[in-house]
Amino acid sequence: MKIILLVLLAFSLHADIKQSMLNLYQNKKFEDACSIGFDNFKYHKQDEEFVSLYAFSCLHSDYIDRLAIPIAMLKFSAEARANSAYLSTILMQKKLLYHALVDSYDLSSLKLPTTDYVLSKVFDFYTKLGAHEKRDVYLFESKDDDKLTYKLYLSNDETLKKIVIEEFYDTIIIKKHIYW
Amino acid sequence: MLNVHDLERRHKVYKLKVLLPYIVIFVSLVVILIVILFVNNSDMFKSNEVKHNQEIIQKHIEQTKHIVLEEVVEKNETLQAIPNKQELKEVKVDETIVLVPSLNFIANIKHSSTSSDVNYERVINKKDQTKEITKTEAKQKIALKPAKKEPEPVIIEEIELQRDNPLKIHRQNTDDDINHVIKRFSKNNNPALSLFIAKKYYEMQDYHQSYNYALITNRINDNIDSSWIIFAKSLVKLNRKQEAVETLKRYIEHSKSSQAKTLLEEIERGKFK
Repeated sequence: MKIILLVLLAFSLHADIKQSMLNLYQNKKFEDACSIGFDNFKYHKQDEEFVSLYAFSCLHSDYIDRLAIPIAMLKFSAEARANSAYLSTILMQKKLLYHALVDSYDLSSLKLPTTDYVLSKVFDFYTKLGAHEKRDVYLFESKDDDKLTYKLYLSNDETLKKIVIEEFYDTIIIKKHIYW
Repeated sequence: MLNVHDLERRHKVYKLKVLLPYIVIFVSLVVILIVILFVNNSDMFKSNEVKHNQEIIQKHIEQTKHIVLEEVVEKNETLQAIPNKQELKEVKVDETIVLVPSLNFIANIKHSSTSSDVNYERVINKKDQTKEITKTEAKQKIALKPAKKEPEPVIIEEIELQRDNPLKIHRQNTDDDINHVIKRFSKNNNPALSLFIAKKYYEMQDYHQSYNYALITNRINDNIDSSWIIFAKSLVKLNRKQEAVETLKRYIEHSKSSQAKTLLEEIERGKFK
């Protein structure tokens, strides 16, 4: 009887965490959803829905490095594999862009798949520049919308350089993403 | 007198002696058959068969190679004759692959959740309240003078003032902010500003104004996702659910926005009220 109760309790807690994460995700509190997922990951790592939700929450809150484990875990269903490929592309693009900006690594010869995520868009703009002299700030204009522009630069923190992408809509900053 | 028992025994021995060669032959034949069947199924014979099969396959491959080479030569000739086709193929290869996330798992979680009837906003509000309480408790622990400014009284003021005049909301910062942004918007007609105003009015539960400014934003630029979503949400709050559904359907046809799809689903299921 005690075992059954414990199992029921564990099941309800499991469902509760996933539901609360979903609520946060739908209300665009991605950072909170990501941190809840991070804290509870070891208990739910076999649940692909949980792992996907955790991964997309972290993606939208710019915690790209946290995607590494979900990428490895998502493999059992077709949907999970599609998401794994999507996320791994973004992670790779982030690493390559960081390498290029910090160490002037040439990306012009690369042909990678792209995504709808802001980092991928900026990565595509950057690779299309080809071989060029290092700049402090890069400005890219969106093809779809003339008023939408992206500003890319490196911030020099005390310990670590960070990629900064700022989204502007008609000179007004909409969102700022920081990756390292 | 004849010894019948002895005669019978000798007769049996004689019969056995007569039948023995037949029995031996039969048994040996059966054994040979079994051995042959067993050996046929064994690996030794299989490997021989495989070798034999490989030889056959190699012969086939050699034959097909010749055929393929002939075909390739023919194709090369045709490709040289029609260079435009090759160029077209190269152009197709240059196109980059666009990966798209699959967000069906969100719907699955929704279906599987036991508390699916609970309104999300209410849950979040409750959680926010509990978070705020825990935060204030934490503050109390750290600092001896707790700040009790944040949670309830602001909302009460807001409701009272909305009854008098829905346009004037006496929350100092927000009111000033909105007025300032409205002035800026009237000068430059920037959709980012009108969207900001629509969002702020929606947060303040002034759904008429949020509807108006979302509509203005959509007229200026009809490709902003969040503007259409605020527009639809405001319509629902103004009890014009059908219009909201139709608008969202039209927008989804035009843009295929995943956010709009999720909202439409929630409205149709009655989760968003």
